[in-house]
Amino acid sequence: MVTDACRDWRNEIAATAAGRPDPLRAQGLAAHLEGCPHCRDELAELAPVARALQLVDPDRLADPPAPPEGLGRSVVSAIREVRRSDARAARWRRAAIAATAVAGAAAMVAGVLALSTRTDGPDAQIVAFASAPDGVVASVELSEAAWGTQIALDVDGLADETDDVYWLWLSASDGDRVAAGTFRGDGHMQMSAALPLEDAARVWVTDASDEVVLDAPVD
Amino acid sequence: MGRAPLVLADEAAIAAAYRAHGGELYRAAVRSLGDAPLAEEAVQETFVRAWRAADRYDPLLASLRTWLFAILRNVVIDMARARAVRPMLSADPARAPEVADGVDEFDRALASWQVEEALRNVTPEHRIALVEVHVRGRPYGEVAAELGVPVGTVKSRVYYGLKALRLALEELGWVDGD
Repeated sequence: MVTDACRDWRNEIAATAAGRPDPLRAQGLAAHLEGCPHCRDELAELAPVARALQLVDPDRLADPPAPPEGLGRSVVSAIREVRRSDARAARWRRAAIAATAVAGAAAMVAGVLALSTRTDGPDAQIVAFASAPDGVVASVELSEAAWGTQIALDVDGLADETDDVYWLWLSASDGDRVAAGTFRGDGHMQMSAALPLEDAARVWVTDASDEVVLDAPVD
Repeated sequence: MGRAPLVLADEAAIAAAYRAHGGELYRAAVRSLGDAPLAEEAVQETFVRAWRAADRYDPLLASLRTWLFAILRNVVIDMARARAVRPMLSADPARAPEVADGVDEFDRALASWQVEEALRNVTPEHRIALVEVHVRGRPYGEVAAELGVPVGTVKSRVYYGLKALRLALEELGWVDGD
């Protein structure tokens, strides 16, 4: 029950919670707390809040960064783009599964093999990774872009292996590799590499320890 | 039940969720990534993941804000780890050390952000009393003199300020403890 005495001790409870008790009143407060469960609860409730206050950098309070004006629009258009590419990915996934089934049979003889098929665009090609761990189906669509090569990666089954971050690379024929970005798990991902598509000789994926997981030549 | 949008099913719902929480997600991302462009990317990715997982969101289990913050946390950790794996690929190597490189650091940054955000949500009188007395560690008397109020008033503002701050923190999903 809150009494007048409790009200008298409130300020001291707040100061004590923050580790700044008035030494002259400490004994009196201790005696009150001894017999007052309500004030003990209040102290227990305020102490973690006062501790949390120690995390504050007062200089950051004045000017919280405002999100850039266009961010809301970018969020909506990013989702619009993902929605579109998910629809495309579903089509590619079917193509990749068919290609990999063929490649799997051929790979028994040839070891490592990738199938390339021209798509509707003259500068785009789909590459299905024939050298992939069991249960992993993956393909990329490579298309030319002003900055190099746009890569739409479609992976299924990799998330079952590990929760690692993977790296997608393009290599030129001289072996120099250019990172196209990182990804985790399965799905359809848009990436880009600063290597012209016509110079690309190999597309491959490494895991966090730089081991090659997926690998295919590019025509 | 559940006043939050049921799912982020359409663009209007996404835009509404962004208007409600985009600003605070962005500030939390800036705080933990230490970099405005990366924070933008993190917020965008958070909404993309939320949209993809919209059918798994249950407003009865968590508020939309709590859910979005949980996603942001994963996004930021992924981004920080990806940079840690290949720090040499950072466009600006000087920026890399500022990135929180693990769960603990993210949580610490998020905790600091939460308290700062909560402090902005209490009245200016309470905020000033809490900051001057308990953050800057100034004597009550000095703060009272500066504000032109009795010492008892400052002490009382600290008390009510702590109570208000607790509520503001809880609204942000703060859990009691360190």
